[in-house]
Amino acid sequence: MNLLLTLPARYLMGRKLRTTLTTFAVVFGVAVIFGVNSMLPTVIGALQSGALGASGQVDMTISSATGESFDSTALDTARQAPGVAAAAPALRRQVSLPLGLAPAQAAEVLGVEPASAQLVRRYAVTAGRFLAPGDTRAAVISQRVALMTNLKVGDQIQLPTPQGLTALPVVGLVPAAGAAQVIVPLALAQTLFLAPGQINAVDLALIAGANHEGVAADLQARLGAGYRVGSPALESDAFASIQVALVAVNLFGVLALFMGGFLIYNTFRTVVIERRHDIGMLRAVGATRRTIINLIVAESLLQGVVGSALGLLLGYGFAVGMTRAFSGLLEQYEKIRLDTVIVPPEVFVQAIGLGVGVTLVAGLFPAIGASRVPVLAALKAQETPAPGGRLTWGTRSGLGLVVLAGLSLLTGNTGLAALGALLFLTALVLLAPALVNPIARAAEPLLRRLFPQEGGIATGNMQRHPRRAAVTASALMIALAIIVALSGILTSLEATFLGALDRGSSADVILLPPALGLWNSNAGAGADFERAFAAVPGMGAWTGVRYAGGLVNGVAVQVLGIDPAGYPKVSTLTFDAGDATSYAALADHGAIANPIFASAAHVKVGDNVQVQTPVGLKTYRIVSIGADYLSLKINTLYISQANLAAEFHRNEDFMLMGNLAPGADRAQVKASLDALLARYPQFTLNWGADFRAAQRQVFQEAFLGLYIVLVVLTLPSLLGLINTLAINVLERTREIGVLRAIGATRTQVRRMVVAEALLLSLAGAVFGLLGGLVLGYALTTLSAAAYTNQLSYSFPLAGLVFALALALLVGVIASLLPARQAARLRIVQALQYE
Amino acid sequence: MAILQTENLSKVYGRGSAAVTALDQVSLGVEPGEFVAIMGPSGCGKSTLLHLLGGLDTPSSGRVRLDGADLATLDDTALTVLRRKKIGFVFQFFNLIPVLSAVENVMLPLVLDGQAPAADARAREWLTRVGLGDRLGNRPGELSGGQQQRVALARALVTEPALILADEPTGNLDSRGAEEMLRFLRKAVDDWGRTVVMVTHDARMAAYAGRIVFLKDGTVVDDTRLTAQTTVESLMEKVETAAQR
Repeated sequence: MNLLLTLPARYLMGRKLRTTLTTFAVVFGVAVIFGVNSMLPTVIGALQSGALGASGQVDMTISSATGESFDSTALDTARQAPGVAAAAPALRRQVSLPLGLAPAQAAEVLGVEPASAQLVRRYAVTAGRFLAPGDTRAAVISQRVALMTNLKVGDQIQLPTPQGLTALPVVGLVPAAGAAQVIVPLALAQTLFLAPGQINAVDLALIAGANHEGVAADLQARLGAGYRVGSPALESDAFASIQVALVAVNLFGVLALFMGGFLIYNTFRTVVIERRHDIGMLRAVGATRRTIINLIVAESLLQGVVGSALGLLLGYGFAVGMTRAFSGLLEQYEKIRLDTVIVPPEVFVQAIGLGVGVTLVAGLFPAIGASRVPVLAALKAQETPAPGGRLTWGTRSGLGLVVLAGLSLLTGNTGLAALGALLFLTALVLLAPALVNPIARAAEPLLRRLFPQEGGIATGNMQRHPRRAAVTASALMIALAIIVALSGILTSLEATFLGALDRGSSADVILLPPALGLWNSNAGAGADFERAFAAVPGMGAWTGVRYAGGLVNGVAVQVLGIDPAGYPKVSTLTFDAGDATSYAALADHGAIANPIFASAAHVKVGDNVQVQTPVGLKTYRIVSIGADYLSLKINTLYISQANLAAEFHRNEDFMLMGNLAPGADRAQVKASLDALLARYPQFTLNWGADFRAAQRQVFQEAFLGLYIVLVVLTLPSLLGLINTLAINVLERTREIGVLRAIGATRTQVRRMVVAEALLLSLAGAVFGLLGGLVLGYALTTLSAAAYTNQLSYSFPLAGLVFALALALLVGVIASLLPARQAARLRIVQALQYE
Repeated sequence: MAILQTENLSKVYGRGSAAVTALDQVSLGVEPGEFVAIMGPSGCGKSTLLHLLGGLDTPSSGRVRLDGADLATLDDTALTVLRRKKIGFVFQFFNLIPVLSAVENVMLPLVLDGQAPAADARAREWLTRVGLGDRLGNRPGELSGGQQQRVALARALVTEPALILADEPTGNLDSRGAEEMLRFLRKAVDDWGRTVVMVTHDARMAAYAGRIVFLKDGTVVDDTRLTAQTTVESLMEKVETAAQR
């Protein structure tokens, strides 16, 4: 085989440890991106199927654009549309089926017209019969529900409804493709779920050979923007959170890959330095610049391909493992089961493209640099030191960028501030070579104290190659900057959320639905329950919160119905604009917007907004801007319960809060509430203080998880540091030989390498802390401007200390292997080292 | 006609008060088939001259002509191709690629020149000529210093260049290895028809050459053709004399 083709592979094989370390960086980045993007479609698919039940079996479904219920006008329109063979109305609700001592499990209650339902979907009854047109109180259950509840035809199924548990006779069993479904007559479902005359889906069967896209477009035109043809609306807190998670985890994957790229860049830079003789010789015997570039790029390509392939394997394993882990959580909190991982083809392309692409780019720049090294300089024994005393191009550019970054941050414009933070990070990378020596000089006294004999040599070693030290320190800098920045944001978010939690919900008792995110599909509770809740002995002021989905200028928004008089007695919003007097204005078609929604829809106090409701567009005047803990992260409008009932047809409470009356016996209240909730298993009883403590714990656990993820981010930096130190040792083999010859012990040599590693990580930490503080401040300010002024920057002292400690730890760990390598050198061989 | 010709060749390092003149107005011609040794004390400009002759460095002023080509007029690629085809280098520190075997190291210039099909056979042939026919598959780390330098010589000769430039080729070898190396360089001139320009500070090694150019402070102070009567001792005296001029 052509020598030039095999040369890159041989170089890689010649340095197995380094090749492994750098390839691992690619593996790591690709695995994260591939794993996450393989896992999330599965999770989202499961949530969709959980929310939609077996709706996928029909040809097409009409739902409201807001996800809300609507009257039969759309049904009539659909029935008259060309291409539609049959249309069946449906009312779907998600409930938690009580299973005795076992935890409740999610099921869909599907209200259908028995005749039309069988025209759009085939119900293969396996026992008993399907619903008949004359049925008023009857249920057909799916096999899965039968398995869950151990019920058979003739038994009674207990359904949780806003009016309490309702017992219905089971008349038949259907397979329902594995979905947990309870099918009841539509009229009964409308009564049970307080939605008289309302449906939330029209399932369609198309005539044979009909053009699906054509029919869908025609129907959409006939129905207007208030409806969605195809699949039902999927706007919910859970989906919003998953989308945010998708972006966040992908960002992490990209960062990991970026770090990997940086490591590869660093490696190839050091490879170029290490191979100066080889490159010089190749150039001397006739290799062109292009040949040199090709050689090094081929090496990086090889690593990219191998790393990406291994990354795909690891990522798939990660996706399967995470899906299993996530499956438990979803079953516990959202009552949804996950299927096996299915990887979309584009995820393969994306992961491979990024893995190979980043590696190629990372190898390309050092390759170009290598090709430009003058032959003679390359043939000389030592690297040409950077010219001292004069400002290099990099330093001048870095200084310029610092000025630009400062100006951008001072403008107060959020976009410019974000740009400023990025400019600042870039400036630090450019300035790093010039800053290495001052940092080394500043740290030298401490280093000499810690390492009396070796500190001076270690400082000198770092100062000798400021550019290489800067590249290594920069890799660490980026990891630490991200840690410090995110720790700044997390600290600020924690303070903001927990502040909102403490300020807002002062209720003693909170009744929450089991699926916290999926308000839309939860069965709430009606007036009977409210009366019973209010009548609990010892219960003082109380209030209920109701939910509906809305749409404003195409922006999805959750519309929460509150009682303007009762709500402030139990809970309160924190206002960005306006104050508590605005509650009263809710009765007069006023609305309180939360800050995220105000920002997304560009509305301010006094503006009128057109809200899409089941009865058409309705105008609401924004009376204030405020939020509480539960509405802090999703678009929300607060309106009065009276308006919610009139325009959204929603009368059910999804959450209730109450205060104990003075002198109330808590145990007695609990006993009464437990008895009440036995008939309303859709609610769980939370004591206010316990709820707040639990939320605080959730936050802290989530943040701990994030910190662990952040620590993982330093892994590529660790590899980079090991690489640089190992190469430093290799380069100084002869010097180390001389040191040993004139009396340095193995321990002293080892300590010298450790001291240098500490110095390098200290330099990285200084850059990283600086960059991280600026980045964190800019991002928090940006978030505050975009979402809520309740988000204020908190100085992440703990994050700073953590990052500094981590940097020094990384330094020590990174030095272990090279220090051992240096200490083990045989003196005579080291002295003869070329 | 001279295969190698320099005209008023100068090289100055640094600027202003820190400027150091390494080579000052050197004009020199080398005929085909000559074996020229360049001698002189440390820092006299020997290596600088060699680097300029090989196009590894650019002069501050003056010209170098190799086989009629003015090196100053060539761009990087043309200069690289010229080096590849017309010059063979031998360095003090061998400069072999550690991950390649002896034969692969020797093949390299031919592979770079697009002559891969013939490279293996020719590399083997040249390694055999320099006495390493039994070490073809060994990597540099598995060879002695003398053997490594002979691999480097084979690499320099494999493209059959007109000119061999050797920079202290024996500087890193023991006396036996050094003499063996010089015998091969002499053979390159006498039997294989090459022109050799060698930098050395060792009079015993210079005695293998046919002509000695003495440099001092960047200028040529003596240019002597050796005869059958020239001994190492007389050469050393000449070195001493040249150094005192």
